[in-house]
Amino acid sequence: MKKTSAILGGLLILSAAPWVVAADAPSLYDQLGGKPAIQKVVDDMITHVAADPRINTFFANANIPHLKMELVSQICAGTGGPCTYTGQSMSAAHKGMNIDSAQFNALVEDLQLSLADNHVPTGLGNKLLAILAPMKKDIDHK
Amino acid sequence: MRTIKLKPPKLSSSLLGCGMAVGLCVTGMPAALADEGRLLATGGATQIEGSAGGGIVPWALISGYGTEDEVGGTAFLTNVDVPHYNLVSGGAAVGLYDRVELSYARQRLGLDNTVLSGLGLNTSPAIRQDIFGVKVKLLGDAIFSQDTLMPQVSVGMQYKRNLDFDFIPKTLGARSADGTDFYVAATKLFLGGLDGRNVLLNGTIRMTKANQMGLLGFGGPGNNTYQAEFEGSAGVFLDRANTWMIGAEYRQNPDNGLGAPLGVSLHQSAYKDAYVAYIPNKRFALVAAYANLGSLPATTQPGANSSNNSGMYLSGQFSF
Ligand code: HEM
Repeated sequence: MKKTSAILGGLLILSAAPWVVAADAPSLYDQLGGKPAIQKVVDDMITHVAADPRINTFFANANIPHLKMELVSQICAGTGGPCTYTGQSMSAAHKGMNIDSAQFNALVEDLQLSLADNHVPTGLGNKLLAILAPMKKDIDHK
Repeated sequence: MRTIKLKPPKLSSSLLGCGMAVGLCVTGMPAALADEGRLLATGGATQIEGSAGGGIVPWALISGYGTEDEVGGTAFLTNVDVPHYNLVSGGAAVGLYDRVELSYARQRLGLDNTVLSGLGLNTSPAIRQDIFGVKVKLLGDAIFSQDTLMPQVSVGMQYKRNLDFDFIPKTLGARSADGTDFYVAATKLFLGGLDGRNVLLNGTIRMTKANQMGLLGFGGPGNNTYQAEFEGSAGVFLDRANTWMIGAEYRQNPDNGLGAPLGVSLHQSAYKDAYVAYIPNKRFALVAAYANLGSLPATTQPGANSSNNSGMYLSGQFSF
């Protein structure tokens, strides 16, 4: 009996551990400064994109306010914030655009400029890029 | 022939870089360059045998900044000074569609005149070799596959031809003047991997018979078969823009019993280095390191033992 409860207790502690850690460490969303900070980063990224001759033609006919709204909710959801992304899948959103790696990387560089503009700490910026990087395979060459 | 001493450039070094890499520079504007579609620092530096890598280890990355639609490449010049020896390596590489890398390097190991005193020679000769490399990216993506542990994996080959074999390598007991190394390299970047900093890890397995990379020939009295050797690199990017990186490398070498005909112990040991890389833009990179080039004999006097040789490593690279 004693043994069983000890094991049960151990299991409880083990299963609780990730939650304890999660509670201690604020989400990347909170560390970035929540929605206003993410909105600012997205706004400034789009400003850099608009000025970037490598890729700005892609966005010539885009609905920019809608795109910004979707990007913010996507980043908010991806970084552990209280949002649900309701836009299209990445492969659907970029279908037929034939984006290549150089153009994808150009957008990453514009995001890096925005992160620098907004003095986002290097570590937080890197973690955000780590969340976005795997999306490349669903975005380019579609 | 001594190498150009590359001074750390000012931030606007693209113009300076163009001036130095005469003929390689298409335009002075880094941002508007064609064929530089990959992200900063993702072409690596050039290791001492001419392949994209760190200082002494080839990585799985393909030379230059070309993407799957682009052709890129690099030219490099490296100088290492250790006691009694000076090693200069220079060459160029072409990266085809972020898939295939072709490289050439010429190495020149200069010896000071104490090294050969045991042979009754009072000269300061040099041993030169040519290295032709090819590398093919097989699978994975070192940068973007952040959702898996899967690294980028490449296989490569370095064909080496020692141009001064009969002079010293043969005297020391090396078996042949040329040889081919085969390697497989796995490289991965962990974005925010260490306290928020980007971390690069690389592991390479090389099949080789080379003595001192081939500068002392291939095979020897003690062994003339291929050996599997491990090479590793670890580095951390210090800043947001990935312009500064520090790291260390390790490279095992086979011990083929060189020196036996002279009664000299030339026991081959591992290479090591600790480096700082400065990558201000996609044009130019500078690597400074404290490198240990394993054991080289201080003299060829009978009974002399080889000593470990450490010194300054300096390498400049231009990308195009
Ligand atoms: C990590 C990189 C990227 C992310 C996270 C991303 C995300 C998004 C999102 C969330 C949308 C909106 C989807 C919807 O409306 O349901 C979108 C649309 C779009 N994206 Fe991307 N994208 C990325 C890279 C790129 C690149 C590299 C380009 C072009 C060079 C690009 C061009 C576009 C365009 C033109 C639209 C359509 C905008 C419109 O018509 O309203 N995206 N993207």
